[in-house]
Amino acid sequence: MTRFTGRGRSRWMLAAAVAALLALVAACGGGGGENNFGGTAAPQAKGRDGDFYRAPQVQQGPGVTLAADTAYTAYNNAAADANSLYNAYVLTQVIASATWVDADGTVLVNGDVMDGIDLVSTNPEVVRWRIKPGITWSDGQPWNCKDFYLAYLAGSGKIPGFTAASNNGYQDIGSAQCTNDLTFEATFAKPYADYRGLFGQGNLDLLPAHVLEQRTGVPDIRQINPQSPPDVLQRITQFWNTGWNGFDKSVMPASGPYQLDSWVQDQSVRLTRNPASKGNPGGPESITYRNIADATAEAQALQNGEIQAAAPQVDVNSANLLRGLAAQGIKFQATTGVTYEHLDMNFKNPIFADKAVRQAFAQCVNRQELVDKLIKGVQPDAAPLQSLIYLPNQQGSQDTYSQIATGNAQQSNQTLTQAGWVRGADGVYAKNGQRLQFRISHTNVPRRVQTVQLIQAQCQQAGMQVVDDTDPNFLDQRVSQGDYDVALFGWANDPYISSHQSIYATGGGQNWQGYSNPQVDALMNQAVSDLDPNGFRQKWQDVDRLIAADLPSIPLFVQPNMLGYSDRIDNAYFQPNFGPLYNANEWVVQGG
Amino acid sequence: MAETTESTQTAPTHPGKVPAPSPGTDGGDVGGEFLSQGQLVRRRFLRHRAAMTALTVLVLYVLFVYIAPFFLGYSLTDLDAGSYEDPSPAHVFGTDQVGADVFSLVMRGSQYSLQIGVLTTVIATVIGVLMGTFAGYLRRGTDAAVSRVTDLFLVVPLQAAAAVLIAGVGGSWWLVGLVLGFFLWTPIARVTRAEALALAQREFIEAARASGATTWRIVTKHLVPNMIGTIVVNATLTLALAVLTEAALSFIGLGVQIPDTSLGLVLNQNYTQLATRPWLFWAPFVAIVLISLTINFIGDGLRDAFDPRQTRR
Amino acid sequence: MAAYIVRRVLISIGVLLVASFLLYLMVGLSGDPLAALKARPGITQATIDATARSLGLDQPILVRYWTWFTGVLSGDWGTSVALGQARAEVLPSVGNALWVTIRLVVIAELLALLIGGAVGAIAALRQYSITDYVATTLAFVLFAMPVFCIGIILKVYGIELNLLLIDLGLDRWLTTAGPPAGGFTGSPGEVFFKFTGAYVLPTIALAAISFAAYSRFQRASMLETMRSDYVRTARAKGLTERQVVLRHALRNALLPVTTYFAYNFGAVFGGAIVTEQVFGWNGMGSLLVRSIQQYDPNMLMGWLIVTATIVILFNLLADITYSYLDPRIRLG
Repeated sequence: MTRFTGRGRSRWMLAAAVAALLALVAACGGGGGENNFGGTAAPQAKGRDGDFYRAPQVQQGPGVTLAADTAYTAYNNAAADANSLYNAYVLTQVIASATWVDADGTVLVNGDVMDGIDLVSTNPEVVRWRIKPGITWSDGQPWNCKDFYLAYLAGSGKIPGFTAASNNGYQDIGSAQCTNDLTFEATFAKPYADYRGLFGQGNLDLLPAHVLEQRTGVPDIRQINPQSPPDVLQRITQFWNTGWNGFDKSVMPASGPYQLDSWVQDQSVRLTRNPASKGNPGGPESITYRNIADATAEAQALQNGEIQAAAPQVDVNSANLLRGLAAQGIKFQATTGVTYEHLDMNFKNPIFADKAVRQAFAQCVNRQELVDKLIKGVQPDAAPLQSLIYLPNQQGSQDTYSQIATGNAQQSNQTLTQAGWVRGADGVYAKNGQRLQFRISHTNVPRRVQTVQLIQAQCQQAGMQVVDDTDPNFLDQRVSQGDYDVALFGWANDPYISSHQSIYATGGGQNWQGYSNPQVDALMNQAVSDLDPNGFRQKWQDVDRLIAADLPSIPLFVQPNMLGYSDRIDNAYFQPNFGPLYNANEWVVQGG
Repeated sequence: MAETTESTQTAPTHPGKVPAPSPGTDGGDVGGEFLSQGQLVRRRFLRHRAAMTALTVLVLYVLFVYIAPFFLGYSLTDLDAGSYEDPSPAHVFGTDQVGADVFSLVMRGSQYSLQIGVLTTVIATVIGVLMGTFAGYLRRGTDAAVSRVTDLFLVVPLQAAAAVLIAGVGGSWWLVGLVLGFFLWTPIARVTRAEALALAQREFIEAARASGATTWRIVTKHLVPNMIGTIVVNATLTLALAVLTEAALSFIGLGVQIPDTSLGLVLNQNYTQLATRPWLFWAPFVAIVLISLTINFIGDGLRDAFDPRQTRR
Repeated sequence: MAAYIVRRVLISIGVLLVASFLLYLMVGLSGDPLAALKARPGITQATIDATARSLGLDQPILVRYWTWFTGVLSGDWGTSVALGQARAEVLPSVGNALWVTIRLVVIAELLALLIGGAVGAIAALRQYSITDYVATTLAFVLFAMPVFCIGIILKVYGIELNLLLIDLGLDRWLTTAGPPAGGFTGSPGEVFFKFTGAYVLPTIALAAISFAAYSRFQRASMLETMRSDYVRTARAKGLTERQVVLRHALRNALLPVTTYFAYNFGAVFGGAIVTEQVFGWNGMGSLLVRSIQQYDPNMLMGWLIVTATIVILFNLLADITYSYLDPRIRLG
């Protein structure tokens, strides 16, 4: 699923978006597939063991404090009101999931709580989740199929009272049940390739069903279905939506390596080791997550020893600051994220209905210069994005655009001249009285303003007059109405490749630019229901090439993530979907 | 209550102490005595060394800010230079991330900051003088009403109220100027009210009233011209305050929004470099302090010139 | 006197009521709290409608104001509607933020008042001396300085100082990003060390600007007092200069500054908003910035009303003190 980001609060919206989609992180190319989101140097988790993840035995050390720019707010991160990437940061250590996603995007079965996830049959698609016996919540209650069933109910979309942040995947389940306490079985109404992402981290976490039963007086959640009495459903949805808001440890037990210890609103949340966890205990004695909004303040606090790790908003100044602290024992990483910027050309505008113009525009935009000036300051090994479907290092990524979007003004001139455009006295091309002039619309994010500044200069040489249209409300109002010539914004890409269908299908929900190609439509329909990972991937790669031939959009670059940390921590990494704490239980922290 | 209310928004002043106006002046017919008063003010101001220096510096800086960019030979869309180049003869304050000339950015930021400051001051002065004069002259109901309105404008910190309104209406430079003006008129109203209160008792106002002059005419032709000293002094101080307030708002991201700019925004984008590339911080910082300091000096000089009793206080 | 106080209190309540209405209009009309939700992919119209209904957003703004107003009277200030905030209750959120900010502000203001008052008085007593010129110039320059820049500069050199301390084999002293997460713990000495380390930089940054205002005001007020009749009388009675200054002049000259402090509280608060951002304190400043950027109307209203109440209380206090001490005011 994809999502645009924008406005001054881009990171925040991205957060909501990415987290909403995290459950789908699994198996992008189909069951068991791998996707490597982590950039070139994503480390493998210490606890990775074939297809499983088991918390490793690590040396225990003192507590650590990590700061990011937004506070932890809620235990039920799947509720639409609460959902944020920052909650996911913290909850990866508190709430166990069926799967565990490594830094490179590989989806592993969480071997500390699961025995396996099996695709039992493909037609119809039936998936079985097998739970390890003897797992308990930190309050001593069993961690079992009830918790799966509750998550399924909340996400299924069949009970309207649940305000789940996303229903993807769960809504495709036709029927589901607990065949016993330790087995959850789902039969899909239509094939769903990303089933391993269900009950994963970030979205629709496996919340304590026993707490909900106690608080709502429902004896057994497994007996609940859409036909249950409305007042019972009302109590359940009410509690699910709001009962876990605020902070009350008695309703917020832990199933992961750490448990919630204390919370100061808008300031910090502290985690301590969860004694009930059956996996190996975490390394740091405690994990404190702090909210420091300003990127520079975070970097300075790290420099000053007030915190041990910082994941600030992407900002070249703080990147430079952090990079300069190597001598003071600070390590810095900038790694590939999941949000990519792109230009969408609007087919309703007669200029862009002309394919030659789309080609020429793609040829004059010098994406390498954009990356050099806007991204490399943070991430020196960054490169232009070459596919609209697969991100770099993701399995299935391919170079579709380097020969199409060349950044060569001369080539652009040729394309236009051949198509009958004539350069006027003012240096701008025209055809049939139509000058080659258009707006690029975007929100007031500094990087976007700079992007347009650079494109203006580049395409001026190619005889195009680009007008800057900075509008803070562009993404809230205008983009979805198709009110633009060219739109510049970002999609937060999760590995759920099928979500691209709504962007490029004729009349698709997010196809605001009016792109239409029946061949693409047909191939995407085949792709989304292909349960074979290789077939799935190949079809989507073909879709990518077909779209590139029509050139409705130009991919620009992927935004990086930043992480600075004290060298007293042995290996920290910013997992692009779940943030920097995903492996905090593995950290070996030296005293001091 | 209004008499006792003071705020940092203006430096301490002593309302009510005014230069003696000449009775019987009417319309544009300026009496000889008033003229000499004006000359006196001018002479006192010219002799105020700090204020004159400040005025010279400010005028030169304003001219420089508007004229220098024409002679630089490159515009802000000229991005051929590399990211974060060090200062050199070509780029005296180096370049920023996209390769834009920081000197040009500071010039442009200064232009916007000054424009916002002037717009704010004009709005605040017009609203403030009208409110204050009518309240002081008409008294009773009008005075009470203006006083309550003033109270309303003081209940929420200026920065917060302005930020909320700017978020609603938009962050282009002139909207920011309008919003700040809309919230910054209260100190001027307070001072002019006190003065109008005193002036309204004087014979020449009574005479005008007796001869059937309308309230509007009395206010605009008699009261306001006689309060010109107070108005000018307070407008000057408002200008300094506007520049600082706008910078603070823009710095925390709640003021001017790109594509417009201001010194606060330039600072916001560059201040993190203080430790590594100090010039990126100091250039816009010095520009703000230069503007606000010179304006304050001028205000001080004007006050001394208009009110000799406070000279060298 | 009692009648005056009652009248002032009633007027203050009236001002607060009207202000709440105007602020509600201003906040309510400046954005759509559901914009972020609507823009979310996969969100259904039903969810949007349900959310709008549960938040009362389907009602006209006057009705919404009334609902909000009666809610506030009964202690229910509503919840945040911003995505990611999990419907956080407004009152505790604002309360927490206020507690962070008020500690900072009170310490800084007391410091500024003490130092500013003393410096202003001394400058007035030694008018045209070197001390006077230095103090006046310093105040003048600080007054023209943007608050946040002082913070920025202090922070960078604070870190340098820490590095110097470490080179000398000492512990880090200054912190740059708010008070520590777990509060101040350890032996009394350690607590003091950490406490001062956390407070000293933002306090200086905040106090510097107020100091400039207070010292100027105190100087002017002191000069006037020293020229007044009762000081002349006191001198004529044969009191020593020391007695004259301490017993008569200073006491009377302090009053305007103190009331000025009370009237000035709103402005001080405004300064704290910006300073907090620089030093990473998650108080009223960051709450305001976040509520505006996410467009969170209930939270904004809570913020504005709590702040307005404090400002009005301070004004009221100043008015009453003033009228009590200066009978001439009662006429007004």
